[in-house]
Amino acid sequence: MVIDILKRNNVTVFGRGSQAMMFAHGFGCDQNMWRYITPAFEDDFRIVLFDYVGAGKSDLRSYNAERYGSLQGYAQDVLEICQSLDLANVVFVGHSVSGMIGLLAAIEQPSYFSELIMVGPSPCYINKGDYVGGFEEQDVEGLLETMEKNYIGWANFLAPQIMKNEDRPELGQELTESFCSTDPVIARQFAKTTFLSDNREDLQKLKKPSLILQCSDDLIAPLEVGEFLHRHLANSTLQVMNAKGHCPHMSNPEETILLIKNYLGVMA
Amino acid sequence: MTSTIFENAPNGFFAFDDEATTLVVNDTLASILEKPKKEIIGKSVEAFFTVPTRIFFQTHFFPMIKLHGHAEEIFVTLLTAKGKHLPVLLNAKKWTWEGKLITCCSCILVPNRKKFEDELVAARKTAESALFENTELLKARAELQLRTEQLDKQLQLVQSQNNELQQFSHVVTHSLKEPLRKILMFTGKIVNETTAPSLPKLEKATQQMKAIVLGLQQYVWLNEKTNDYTTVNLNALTEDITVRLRREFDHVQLSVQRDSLPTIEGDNEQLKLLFYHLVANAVKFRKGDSAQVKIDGTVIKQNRFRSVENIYNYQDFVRLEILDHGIGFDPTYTDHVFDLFRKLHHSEGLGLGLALCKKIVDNHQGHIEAESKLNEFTKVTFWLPLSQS
Repeated sequence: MVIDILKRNNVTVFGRGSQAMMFAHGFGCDQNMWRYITPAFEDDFRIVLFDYVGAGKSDLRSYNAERYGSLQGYAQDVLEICQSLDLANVVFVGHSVSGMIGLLAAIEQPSYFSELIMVGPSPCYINKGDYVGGFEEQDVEGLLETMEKNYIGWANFLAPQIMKNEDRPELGQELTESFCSTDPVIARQFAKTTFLSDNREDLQKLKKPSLILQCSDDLIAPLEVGEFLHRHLANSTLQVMNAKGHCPHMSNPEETILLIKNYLGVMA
Repeated sequence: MTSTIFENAPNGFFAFDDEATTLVVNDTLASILEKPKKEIIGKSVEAFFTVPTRIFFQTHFFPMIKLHGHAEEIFVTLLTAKGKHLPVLLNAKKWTWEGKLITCCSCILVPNRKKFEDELVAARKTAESALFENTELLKARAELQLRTEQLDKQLQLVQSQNNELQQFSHVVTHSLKEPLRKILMFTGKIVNETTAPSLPKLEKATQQMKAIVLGLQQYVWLNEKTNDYTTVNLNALTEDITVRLRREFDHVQLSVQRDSLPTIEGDNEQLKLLFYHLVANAVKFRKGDSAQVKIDGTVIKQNRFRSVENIYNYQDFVRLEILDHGIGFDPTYTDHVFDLFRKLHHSEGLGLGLALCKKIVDNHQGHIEAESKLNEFTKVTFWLPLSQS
């Protein structure tokens, strides 16, 4: 059985550059979250977008609870896409949990990647001993409960809708799709896999340079976590952003673009 | 008048900007939150969310509002000044106000609905898990039946092939040895008695054949022996191998640079043979008088299942890379380097070393690859599980 990886992960490729720049979404959304960022890189890069199996318009039939019960399974999605598109020297941009997914992928197959850009990453979300991750296990339980509750009334959250957006009419017609839709059972599993993961031991294995984009005032990846990553990732650059919250690529795309461009300019 | 109605409407109202700073809040919400308005406005909306709601806000709600422009019937939990948790239903809409993008939310308290929903969620979970278990069970049973049949067929095939192979290898390694010994003995005698010019060639060919039989015997031994697993410290093992090779190739300047390697569960004898052949190759196929070998070891997680599709079990493997900058080999042969008696160079060897290496890696449920560029480098990469259980 040959699986069509590009269909499975709803892979989108565009742009006029030769070097690939791959954007990986985080927990809770899909490739649409990069829409404010990618236009700035289209001229210089070949943009690769995708949805993890279970998110967005991926093929839900390919979901496998054992595989995706570990971040390694998600890293395999990334590697299989690189292989299918025959990529090398990819600039990998990962939001949130995708920072660690990219890390695992780059440890396993370094030849695919040139550098990693992690937006709001965390190697471990739960406080453990002296380590401050920001959460206790019961917070994760609470999140799972909140998600369950929302799936009851989520029909309108998930179903296709026409966006009435007077502010950004340019987003127009193509937005008749649902965004950030995720299968409830899969989303629950993804939440568990994400928030209970601990990749602190893997950090020293990364041989590629990395940029950590750390938001100010981010509950999910607090400043201490960014500093911890910077201390343990050799050849890493830490940028503390003015953007607040956990989604600077959506709340402050200009700053996000500028910092990525500066970093890639320096690295080039 | 309108303002009084807004302030005291039977629903809570708040608005925030893209940085989640609260801009407006009505009296109803302030009283729900049990704190004065001035302590709410100008601060983050997250201040009156519980921690799980804050995670949900960042991972789901914010991206949704940003992309969709609105959201309805969202369930969140508010946190009051006195630490009470209040379940609310929330509708949200984004628009531009005084040139600024803002999100307006109205919410109603749903304590009774929450009780009902809790029951609903619990009932749905029970139903889901029962259904899941049932379908999984049926699927598993069908799968098991299929796999058992496949396994049985394969076992039969493997068994008959094994028998044949055993007989064959017995012939090769034992039955051939005796006539070979005799040929060698008599050739030696004839060499002493006469001086025909082709006799030394005959002797050389026979000696070579003897070496091949011995090599095969080693290969067969690896095939048939049961693995004797112990804890093997790869640092000590590579150190021993280096010392041994320096002694054997005392005219070569051998430098081995290595990371700290892990301790793994494996057959010590076999692993010694594996590292011996790989490092010895780097020495044999060096350029000039010195050989530089680099050994890297990284522990990574890999799926233990390599032949069966759609089954996953991620386990710790050590990925070992042995790199040298010797004469290399032609990359067109990459797929055949591990074949039995495949020689890539005109050298004295038999072309057996890498086949033995593959056998050993297979015996450890690992896998091995090689890449090279002629006159530049050779890199052999192999993956071994940390534990054999």
